[in-house]
Amino acid sequence: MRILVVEDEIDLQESLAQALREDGYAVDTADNGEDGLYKAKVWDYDVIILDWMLPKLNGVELLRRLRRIKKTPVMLLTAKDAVNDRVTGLDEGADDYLIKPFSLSELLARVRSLIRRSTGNASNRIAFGTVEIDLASKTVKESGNPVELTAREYAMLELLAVHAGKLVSRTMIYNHIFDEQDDTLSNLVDVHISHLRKKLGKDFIETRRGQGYILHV
Amino acid sequence: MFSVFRSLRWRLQSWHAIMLLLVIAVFGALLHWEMLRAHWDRVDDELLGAARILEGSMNAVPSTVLEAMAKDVTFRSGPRRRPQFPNRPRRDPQESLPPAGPPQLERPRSSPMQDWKFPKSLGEVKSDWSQEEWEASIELPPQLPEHLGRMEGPAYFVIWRADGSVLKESKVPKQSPLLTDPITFAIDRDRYARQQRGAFREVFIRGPFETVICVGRPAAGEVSKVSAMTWTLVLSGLSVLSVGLVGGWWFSKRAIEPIERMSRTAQRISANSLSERIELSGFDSELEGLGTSLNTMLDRLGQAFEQQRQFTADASHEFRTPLSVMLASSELALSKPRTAEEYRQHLVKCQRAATRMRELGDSMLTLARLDANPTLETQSVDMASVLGEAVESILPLAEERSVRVEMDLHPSPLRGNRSMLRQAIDNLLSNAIKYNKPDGMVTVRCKQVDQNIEIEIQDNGIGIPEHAIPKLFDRFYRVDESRSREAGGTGLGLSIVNQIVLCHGGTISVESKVDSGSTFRIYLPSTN
Repeated sequence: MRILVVEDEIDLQESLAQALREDGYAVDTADNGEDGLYKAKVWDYDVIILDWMLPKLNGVELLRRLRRIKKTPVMLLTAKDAVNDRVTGLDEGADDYLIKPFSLSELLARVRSLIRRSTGNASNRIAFGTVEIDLASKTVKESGNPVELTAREYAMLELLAVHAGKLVSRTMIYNHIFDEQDDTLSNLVDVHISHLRKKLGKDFIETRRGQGYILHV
Repeated sequence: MFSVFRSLRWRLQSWHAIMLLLVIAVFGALLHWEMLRAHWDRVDDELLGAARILEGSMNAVPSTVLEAMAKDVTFRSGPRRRPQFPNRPRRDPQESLPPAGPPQLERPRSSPMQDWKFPKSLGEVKSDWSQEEWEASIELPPQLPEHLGRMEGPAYFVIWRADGSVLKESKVPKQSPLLTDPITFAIDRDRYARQQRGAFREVFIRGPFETVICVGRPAAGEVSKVSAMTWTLVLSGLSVLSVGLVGGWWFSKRAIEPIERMSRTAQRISANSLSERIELSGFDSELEGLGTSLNTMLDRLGQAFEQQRQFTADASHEFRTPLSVMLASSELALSKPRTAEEYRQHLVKCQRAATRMRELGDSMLTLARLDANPTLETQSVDMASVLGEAVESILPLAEERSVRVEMDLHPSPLRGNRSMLRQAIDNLLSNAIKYNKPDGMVTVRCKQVDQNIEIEIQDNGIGIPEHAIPKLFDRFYRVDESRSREAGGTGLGLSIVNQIVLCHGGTISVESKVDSGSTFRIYLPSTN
């Protein structure tokens, strides 16, 4: 899952990015509205965390322009707590609204909820035969036994799981698993997939040569 | 219960009722009295006429005397007239008339009828008449029965002697109070008395020889007429009163209604609904004036509330950002065991946020103090030295940003609060350096211009866009809406400068052009 954090307060932006990365997300950052809009247009993020007050282009204007072309879930982050401001923010297309100061754990829970909703899942637990994935605690069990996965492996499994039954292309994996700081190599995906197969069973992930991967329900 | 009587409308209505009642009562009483008098005067005039006829007949000179007089008295002009003796008994004409004619009557008169006087000689012999002789000579006038008959009800008369015995009388009705009640009132000689006793009206006059003449008649018809009149008067008075009261109630309702509307509006108005205004249409000019001044007051209150609300909202907004940095950093640092370097980084972030909050708190406190107590403790200050010190202390920052500072300072004495003035200059100087370009320049000038000290802080930095200038001194206003991180600041710096200048009775203005710099100019009253 890849997240864009647009926040001009550098200290806050760094803390947010670190917290999200530690939670297994790929995180991009922008410290002004124009950069933020550019990145949001170029990449398909799973969630955008957007500050309202930004230099060059404010958050609501950014959201308005983004909404003309994309439905990416957006969480508006702001110190404006008046009802009118919240209404404006939500009406301009924000999917969630978090008022500063906030608790990191709440922010992370809301990010999970946004991802869950945007992929059409009702619950944090997704089961595939004997494999059960808990999106909240980011753990995987096979026949009731915990399976140890690296952060990357888990991220890839999660991506396949929330898009279960649909084809997930390699580009999509690159887009959602790796952020702008990663030095990606194309065969890295194949390595992670083979590790997942070893740990969860040979037929767990189907490969469609030249197209991508699919996880069957 | 008692609040009803304290209401303006009730009081107005009560006063109105009392005044109306008084006016109607006084006018009604006057009218009633005047009507009664006119009515009874007419009756009395009739009775008095009859009484005068009786009196005249008692004074009348018997025809035999007149015949004797006619032989000696020559009337020069006018018709012969029967003279009236003013309550005097007559005497024998043979003795009373002197052989010679009365000389007074010889004189010609233009109108002998007016001043005709009976010969004195005739009067001088009156004492010879005895009462008995006089009484015997009384002839009741022949027209009297006719006259009495013309009156309503059977009129009657009685003539008493001085001792109270009846001299002459007509048939007195049995119900007449004359027969039962004594006469207890005095009757003047030249006037008449009248009396209403029961249903009888009687008139008394004095006749010759201390006699008393009474003419009376039953007046039951008049009494009932008068009481009917009284009732008509009372009823019409009451109806006028009630119409007046209803009208008054309606008028007072109309008069009070706008006030009630105002008070209803005022009740709706609270700190949260200061946008409500009193509807002024249909008000009288006095109340419209009141309503307008209330509305103006509400406008001012609303503005003040709005400013206060905005300030509080802005202040809480300003605190939220550093607070969220502190919360996020500390939560992240504590989420799992970390290296010492990681902890240090998070602590540095927390410290930066805390410093910013302290600056914000200090600025707000300064502003609050200036707001609460605009009169400062003052001393003699030379602005040149204040500016010199301020420039000296800001030089490290200027060097760091490679900005050159030039000074052109002349003696500028004034009375003011030195530390406040220093703070204002510090704020302006640090702005001039922060919003400057590398290798920029800041020029600080001060001099005396007429009665004022002119302070000028000029930079050739990034400048201020035109749209931002009117709001530049507003609290928490920033030219760039987002916090510009490099420049930092609380958004209160220029508000504080403005407030300090205002507290010193001065003015501040700014000229600016984007990319070519800004000039802040302060005028403060000088002591010279």
